[in-house]
Amino acid sequence: MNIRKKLFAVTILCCLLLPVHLGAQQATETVTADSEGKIWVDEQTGVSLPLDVDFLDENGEVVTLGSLIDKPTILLPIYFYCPNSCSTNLANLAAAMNRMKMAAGKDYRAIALSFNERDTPKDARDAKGNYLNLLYEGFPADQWNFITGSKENIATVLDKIGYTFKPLEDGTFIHPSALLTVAKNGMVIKYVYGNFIPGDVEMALAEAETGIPALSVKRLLNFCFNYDPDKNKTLFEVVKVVVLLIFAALVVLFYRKFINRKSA
Amino acid sequence: MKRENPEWIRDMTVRQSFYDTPSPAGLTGIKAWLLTHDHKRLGLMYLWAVFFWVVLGLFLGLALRTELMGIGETIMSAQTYNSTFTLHGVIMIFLFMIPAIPAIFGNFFLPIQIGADDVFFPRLNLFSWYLFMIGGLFAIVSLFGGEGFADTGWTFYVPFSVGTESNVSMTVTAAFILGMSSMLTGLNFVTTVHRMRVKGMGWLQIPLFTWSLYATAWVQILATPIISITLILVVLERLLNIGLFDPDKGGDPLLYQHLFWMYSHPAVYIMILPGMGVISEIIPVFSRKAIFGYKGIVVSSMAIAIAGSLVWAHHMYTSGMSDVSVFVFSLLTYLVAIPSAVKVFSWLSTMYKGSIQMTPPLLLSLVFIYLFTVGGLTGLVIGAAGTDIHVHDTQFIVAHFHFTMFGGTGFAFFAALHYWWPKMFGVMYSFRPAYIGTVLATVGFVFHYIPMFILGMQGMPRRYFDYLPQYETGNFLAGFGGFLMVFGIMVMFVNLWVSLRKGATAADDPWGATTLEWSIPSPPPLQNFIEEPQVKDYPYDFSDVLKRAAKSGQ
Repeated sequence: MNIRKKLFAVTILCCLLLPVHLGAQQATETVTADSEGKIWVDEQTGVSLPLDVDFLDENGEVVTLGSLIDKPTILLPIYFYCPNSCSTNLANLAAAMNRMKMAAGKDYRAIALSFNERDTPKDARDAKGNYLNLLYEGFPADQWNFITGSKENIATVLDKIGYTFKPLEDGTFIHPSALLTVAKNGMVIKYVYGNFIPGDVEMALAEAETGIPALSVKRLLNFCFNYDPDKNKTLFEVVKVVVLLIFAALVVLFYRKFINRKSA
Repeated sequence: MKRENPEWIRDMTVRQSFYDTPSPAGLTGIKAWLLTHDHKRLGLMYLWAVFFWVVLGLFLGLALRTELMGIGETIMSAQTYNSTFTLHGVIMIFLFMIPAIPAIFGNFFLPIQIGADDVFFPRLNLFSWYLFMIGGLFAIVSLFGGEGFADTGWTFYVPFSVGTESNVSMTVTAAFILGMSSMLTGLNFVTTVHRMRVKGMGWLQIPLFTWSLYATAWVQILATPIISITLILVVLERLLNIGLFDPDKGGDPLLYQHLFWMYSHPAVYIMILPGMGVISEIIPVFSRKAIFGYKGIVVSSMAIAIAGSLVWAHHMYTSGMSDVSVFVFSLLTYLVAIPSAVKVFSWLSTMYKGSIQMTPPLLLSLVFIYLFTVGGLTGLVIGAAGTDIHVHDTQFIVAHFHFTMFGGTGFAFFAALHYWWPKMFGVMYSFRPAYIGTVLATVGFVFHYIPMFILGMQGMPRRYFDYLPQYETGNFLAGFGGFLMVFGIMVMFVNLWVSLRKGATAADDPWGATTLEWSIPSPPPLQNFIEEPQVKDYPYDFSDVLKRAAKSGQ
């Protein structure tokens, strides 16, 4: 290989590495917390929820999980004020409850637990109003509670169920979409992932009725997080240009080789 | 002293089949097979390997449905059930559907159909077979090694595939190796079609089976590297914890799904296109009539290959894509229906006013058309983003893709077996058990999967080893259909197996077909052609066949 070819190869390699380098820089800027080896949902079926921890319901009254859970219960960790993406979890749950054969109040109840300690009972009330509108006529409003609480109390419950979320600087969160069903006695029975299709949720509630912890069906773990589509635009522009350059270089090489062979 | 062989001995040697041709010294016995470069032997080696896998996959599937016949835990636990359906999926997709028709019949007949004596890269062909076997071996080893077989389903969705303790790395490596094998076969076929066609065979004289393999091969070459890279990323993620798919580290969980389906949806066309090619061969032969719309079928094969590569995200409607993307992918998905329908109508028009001769391959092809059409039409239900949401991740989806893959590719595979069996082995099977097997398998199929459509509409989710009481009747009945279907398939296989020992000798052209493979002895000689193949202006010209039939008074 002569010097010119070597130089050419090195240039191409450098071009290839450039976007990686830029990407690495941007990535280090966004990561703020230590999150090595973290598992978003570490299933803890069979454990008992801390039933005596205080929360506030949407009317501002003090409740405990023990006072709410009187039948098989859906527990959805979520936060109530979310600028765009997170409404899907609550909306999916509402849609599922609409299509389920089981009746709220008779067969089950639901709890939306905010993991944002800045959410107030007023936020909870607003959210509840919104999602009750999605539900069928005559849905018993007292069977879906939207509860808020202090940072410590939230952590007590979420640590127990192995659910991890991550606050971001702009006040939003990265969190997985998962709910779990709990038996009458507060034991964690099953985790449900994805879009909460009615059959999934009903099955999990039926298992909560029997009180025996069950294995989840791991189909898809969605995440809620905000992102700015314009943020890495420069990076993608660079990648585009570099790829085009490489293609151009390859075309030139082929062309020269072809010409050389023809003239020889 | 060297002496010329008399004429009759020379005639004997050239008519000698590739089985009987003596191997060169040092390549005898088992080595004659394991180190062969002959495309025919490799096709047969794939055949036996695929037979093994398909039977294993069938019985795993049957075990799953047996578990579902009764409510609660009957024959396996939830964890076993999860691993079993993953294994059933991996075997059926990577070890049966994708390689079956191209690797067996493609290897055997593609070179013959274009008048060549072998594929362009015979050694690479052997290497692909070894990759296929090693990939299969890895799949088995991962079943027993470590923490047990993956329980993530054949899609290996992150983050489950990254977080779970089961043996995902090994299973994923198996899929990676199998992908390599498929890609190299595709490369071989494209090159062979371009470079090895006999003189006088232009692009529009190529038989439709070869055309379909050619279209498939391009998808294999272009799409398979994506899954290979994706699977490597999963392994890297597991080992090094990079965070490509973790939103916390700046990764994107949707990225994995995009990458995965960017291959896996085109893979659906890798599975179905060769099947369609088989049907396009069989229908004209038994209608004694030139295929209707040869060019239309050629163009539709290429159109399916191209459009089918652009629809991957219709698997992700509910995963949080933008509405614009959902709309675009929904529209593109509908476009794929057009070339598929072109083929179905061409087959029907071919049979119209033909002189139809019923044989097992034709019966299986008709079953294919029926089942595949049902599969395709139910595909429109889930291809539309609006209706998909109602049946997403329910048994409806399971029924749909079994109708297209099993009812489609599976039955095309059976049809191909029955069509080319006399050519590959020189023996003819008896028709009666073949008909009985086909009818049992078809009736079983319908009774097995139609209840699943209904269960899905009622809301029964997929991938569950247990269900609510209202789904019990449907699941119980579906089980019987499953048993009937597997029994029917076994009847077919046993009948073919018996023919190897007791079958009558097959003629060179038992069906009255026109493509080149029927102009040579059954089984073919080592070099395929004894004399220079005669290429017709039009590959489906039945005038000679009809003349011969008139002469013999049929």
